[in-house]
Amino acid sequence: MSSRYQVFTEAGEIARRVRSGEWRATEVLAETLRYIGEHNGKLNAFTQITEARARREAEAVDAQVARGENPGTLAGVPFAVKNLFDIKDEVTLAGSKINRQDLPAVADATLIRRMNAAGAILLGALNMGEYAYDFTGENIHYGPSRNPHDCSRMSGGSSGGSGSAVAGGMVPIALGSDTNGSIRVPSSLCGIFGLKPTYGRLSRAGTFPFCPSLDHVGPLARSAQDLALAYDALQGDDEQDPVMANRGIEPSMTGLEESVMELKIAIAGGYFRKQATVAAEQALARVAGVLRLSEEVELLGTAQARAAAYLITNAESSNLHLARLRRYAAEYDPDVRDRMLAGTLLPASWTIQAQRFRSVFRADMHNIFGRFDLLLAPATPMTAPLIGQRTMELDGEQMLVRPHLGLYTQPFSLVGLPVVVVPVASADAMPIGVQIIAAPWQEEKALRLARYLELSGFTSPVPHN
Amino acid sequence: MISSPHSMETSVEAYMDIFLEMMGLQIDDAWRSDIKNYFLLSARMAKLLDEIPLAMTEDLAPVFKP
Repeated sequence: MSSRYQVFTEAGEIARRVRSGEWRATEVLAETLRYIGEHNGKLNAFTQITEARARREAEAVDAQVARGENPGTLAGVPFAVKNLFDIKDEVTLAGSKINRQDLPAVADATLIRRMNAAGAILLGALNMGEYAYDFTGENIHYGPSRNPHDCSRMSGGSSGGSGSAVAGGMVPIALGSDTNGSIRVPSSLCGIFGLKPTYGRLSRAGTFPFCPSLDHVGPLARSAQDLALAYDALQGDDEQDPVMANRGIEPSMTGLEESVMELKIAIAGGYFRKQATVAAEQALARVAGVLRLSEEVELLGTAQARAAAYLITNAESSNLHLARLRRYAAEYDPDVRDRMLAGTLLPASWTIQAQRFRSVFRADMHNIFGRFDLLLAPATPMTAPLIGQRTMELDGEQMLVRPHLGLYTQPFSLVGLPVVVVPVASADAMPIGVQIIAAPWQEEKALRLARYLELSGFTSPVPHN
Repeated sequence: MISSPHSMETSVEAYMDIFLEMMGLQIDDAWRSDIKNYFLLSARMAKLLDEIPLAMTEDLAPVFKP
């Protein structure tokens, strides 16, 4: 280990060295800003860098260390947030042009405050698909965030800047949101770890909504340990988010390296086997091979669960945006606008049927988790498509990339299950992720298995360039 | 009872015109084709759901608690 900070250092290592006084938070920040300045033109991950604020935060951490105080579990760790998180005194863009006219946020989002309270340093806001209605990481107003493993390819969306910044070594931890897969798709395409927690686990207060009954927020990181470290710092009750379960803090770090031998794990079959490319199948097989798994369980109704998530998203997001669609329709990204306009036309019966099916699928999944602790499934059906690619062929069928790239993540969003994505990398091939799905509130089990897999060689690849 | 998506497809243009006007939404003609295609995608999703009969007692989950 170098005696000076270098990018791609894990968050846990940064925090340990900053707390000990071996590294100064201001030095970590300076090197991080230099690196971002060098690479952001290529990756287009950041839409705003809050440098002055970051300097104040880093100086405060160094001052705490100098006084003999403990700045926290994330002391001096640089992080950044998808630009739908409120940053005090900044306009929350949510990937749009329309929001530029909004007033600056009067307070930080809850999760930014939690990261700061643990000693982490906010570096700025990250690119995203407009209003989070996206699986590609493309953005017509701000340009696409790019995949660090091949800049001609998608980062994945809608937390594309989060995936790009973390995979590209700009920050060890980023925050994103996941309504239908927007943390998990970029984690898969960029080859990093990502956590969509249980619905109601982490506060969404101070984030720009997309589809409230499906919106989640969570961390992305280059290691399972950093993911758990961030997750623990982000937990806590919050009356500002009406769907919070307020379960207090259930730490994941303490048992992260405990045995996984007692966990009953199955492979999700059926729907998850039908449209996967060879790359997705091989990734799942590699993970299953290490775990010596062969049991496959078919989740009946998965196609319907995905359909229900699609309809609920379409209807809720369109309703949220109705006033803006009336006034500013031409200012939207056409791919977002046209889908939302279509969503304004949905018969109520379709979305009510979707909500009723949600109850059914929830009961089915509870039964499955009576038999198993964890399920494995591909995170995306394919590795990163080319930027600008409109269609993809899956199982012989041509389909649009933007609405369908999350077809393996959407079903689990519908019932709010916690999911961790683990990267699977191969020499000379783009990375792809595998989902570890747990029962509600069992993030700890999914993170423990992710750590086990990490120690077994499933690590986040460093980009060649 | 909802119409089948197949019968809806034939009259979707008229349906769009009526409901967009009712919702106070104005669209450019150039957007029409994509709006229609996305609506038909939603219709296919709705058809998938319609194929699973639900018990009358099956409540919806508007505020979801896992």
